Amino acid sequence: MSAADDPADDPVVPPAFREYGDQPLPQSPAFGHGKNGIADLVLGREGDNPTRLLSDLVKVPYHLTGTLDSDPAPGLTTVCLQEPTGGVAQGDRHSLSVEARSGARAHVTTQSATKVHSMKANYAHLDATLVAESGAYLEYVPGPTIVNEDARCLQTTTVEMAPDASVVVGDIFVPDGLTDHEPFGFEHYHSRLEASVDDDLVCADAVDLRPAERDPRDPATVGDYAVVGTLYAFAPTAADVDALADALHDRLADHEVAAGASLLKDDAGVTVRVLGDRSTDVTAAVEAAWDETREALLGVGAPLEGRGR
Amino acid sequence: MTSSAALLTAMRLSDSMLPVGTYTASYGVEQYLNEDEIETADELGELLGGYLRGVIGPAETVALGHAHRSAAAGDLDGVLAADERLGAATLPAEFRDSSTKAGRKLLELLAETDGDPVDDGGGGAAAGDGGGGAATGDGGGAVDGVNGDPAAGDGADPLARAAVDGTVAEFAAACEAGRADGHYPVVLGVVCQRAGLSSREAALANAYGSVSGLLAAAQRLGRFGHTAIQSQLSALFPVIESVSDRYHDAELDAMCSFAPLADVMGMSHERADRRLFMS
Amino acid sequence: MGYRDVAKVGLGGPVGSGKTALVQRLVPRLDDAGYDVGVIANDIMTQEDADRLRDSFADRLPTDLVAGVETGACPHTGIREDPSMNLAKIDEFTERHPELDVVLIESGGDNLAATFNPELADYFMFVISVAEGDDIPRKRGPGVTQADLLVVNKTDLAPHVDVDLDVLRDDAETVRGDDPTVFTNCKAEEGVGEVVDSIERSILFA
Ligand SMILES: Nc1nc2c(ncn2[C@@H]2O[C@H](COP(=O)(O)OP(=O)(O)O)[C@@H](O)[C@H]2O)c(=O)[nH]1
Ligand SMILES: [Mg+2]
Repeated sequence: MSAADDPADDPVVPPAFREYGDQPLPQSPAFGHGKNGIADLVLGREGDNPTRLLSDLVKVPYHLTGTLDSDPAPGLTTVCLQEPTGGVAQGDRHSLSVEARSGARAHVTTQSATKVHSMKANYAHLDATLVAESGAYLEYVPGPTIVNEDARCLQTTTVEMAPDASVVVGDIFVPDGLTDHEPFGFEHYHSRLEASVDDDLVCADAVDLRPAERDPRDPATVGDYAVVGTLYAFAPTAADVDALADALHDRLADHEVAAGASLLKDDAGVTVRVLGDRSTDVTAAVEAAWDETREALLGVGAPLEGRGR
Repeated sequence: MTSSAALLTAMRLSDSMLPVGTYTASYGVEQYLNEDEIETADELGELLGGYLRGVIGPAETVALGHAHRSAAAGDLDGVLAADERLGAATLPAEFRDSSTKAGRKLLELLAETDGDPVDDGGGGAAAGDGGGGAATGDGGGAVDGVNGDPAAGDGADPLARAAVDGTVAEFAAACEAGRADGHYPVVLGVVCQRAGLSSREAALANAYGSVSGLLAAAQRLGRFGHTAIQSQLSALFPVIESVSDRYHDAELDAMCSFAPLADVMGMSHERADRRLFMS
Repeated sequence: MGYRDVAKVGLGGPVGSGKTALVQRLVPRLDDAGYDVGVIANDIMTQEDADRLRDSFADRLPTDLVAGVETGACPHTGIREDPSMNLAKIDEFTERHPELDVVLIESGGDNLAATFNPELADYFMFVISVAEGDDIPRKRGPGVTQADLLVVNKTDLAPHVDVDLDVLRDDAETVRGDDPTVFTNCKAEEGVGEVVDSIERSILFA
């Protein structure tokens, strides 16, 4: 199956990307030919037992190495998805879905950065759907998304959660990986994260960048910075989100980045925005924010050492 | 609706004397100045150009346009959806606060000044707006019941009708009941539709009001001269026009808002040690 | 419940005349008299000021009834042309504390032309101090002439700044007609009782 089979009227795909999707994919090995990666994971937990993977449907290029129970948070299991092909190419459609059943605690990550390669036709779509049932705690903190020259990348993330669940999502956007000089060489990057608590939309953070049409290096957008990171901590019924926002803001004060934290709509949690010159700085700041969030929500920090970045 | 009535309404709604508290909002501009991130008038202009292209166009104008279309169709749910999505797309809490405070104050203001039926030709509805009410003699009593077709009456103040109109009143009630937040561009979209302005005109009024408000805020913070500010305002006109054209009829779920550096400034402003503005 | 359901007292006047000092004296007395009081200060500017103000009422008022309102470097707009943000704050107060009786609204320091919008303040006090000189009433600024109550503060300083209180009193009478003027010394709590009496008589007993 290739990308050309995508239903043309898929509502998550904006019109511009539907048009790209109509472009035939040359079967050239240099640019790949469109892979439909799928990972459907369901996690559950009984009482105080460790969280277990109840079912997993995984299709190449996704690869699941299994789960790790080494996390310091009680009952929390780590799921690491690998993408051995080393990047995302034109026509690729990656779709991740994670369902954390009632009371489950899970951390889902990709082991490394996701590189979106240069393209000549079509586009790449990275989709993630995160569902957290009552009392569940779900983290999705993948490596940075590096968008290369001439790439077209659509990234969609949907969070659906119960009011007493918590969901933490990290996102790091690196325009180009190769040179510092022209970091906005991609053709089109569109990313949207939508989070609903029951049926209420609490976050709809969306960006649509076409640098050739409009350079985002103005003082409102990225200024002189090149890398943008966001940590979303959705915790609608957490005790003191005000304090969490302040703690996050303070925590990032001495990082080599411009960063801020603020309460989400309906006090459903906190978002943290980070801008930096280098991917490593932004990653460090987003991970620090993740650590702080964990400390507030679970009473245990994040296992940062093992992340190898 | 006469064309001069439409123009007058647009002017009234984008006039800085409209008492809805916009003079207290800087949407991060105060923080940019305090942190010396903006020093020259040209940099200020670039910042506002970025706001227009990253937020006022793709987020506010999209919400406003959808609210306008929904009001025309008498679809309150559509208005509520625009309000919800604009709030969800605005990450700094202070930006949401400034927007909803102004939106709700506009709804209140219209209900209080234009909403009371005028019982006879002699008595104005309320202080400050007697002219409109007295001139028409119909006031709120003669509201057109059909949502999609704002009534036209020569010389009437179109806002007088809009204020007591079904969709405006329903939206105000939804805000009051906590079912909506009342973001300013959404309120403006509904009110302008009911007052007979097109969504493009409403978008222009919103964008102009935002830009002139932010320029005035920057000027009051004390670093720019009046001619420098007017030059920037003039230079931003084409941007105001192009984002209004481009986004006023966009689909609601195409809404984007991307001004991460402005977000960071707004978030820092929340905790700023010294502040003259609410946002 | 909303801003229309509480008595609103506006305090205007130049920077440093003693508006905050007077509010700090008024709150305990109104509180002792059994009123539920809220305080809004416009243009506190720094976090330190905000904390200090809140602390000064810590044993009297719930912290969420002491608030700052920023007026975007336009103190007169906030109390006169567009009081909407002050009214919104009072609405927040009454929503959380329906039992509220009276709100004291301290304007940011301004010039002698600053007056309170009658829809914002049911009772408007203009606070000047002797330290600004004894010719202030003679200038007939709208603040001085239109206030419901003129408060001349810092009477203790009169001898140090060569001000004759009798001249001030006569001038005030001339420009204000029958409207009252009270002399206070907030440091020594002199005259504050009279201010409370005026407020009570004018808007709380009504
Ligand atoms: N000597 C004297 N000082 C006063 C009196 N009232 C206030 N002050 C002082 O005057 C200064 C300014 O007072 P403040 O209440 O902050 O003025 P505001 O700017 O009008 O709020 C402070 O240092 C006060 O302690 C008074 O009656 N006598
Ligand atoms: Mg003071």
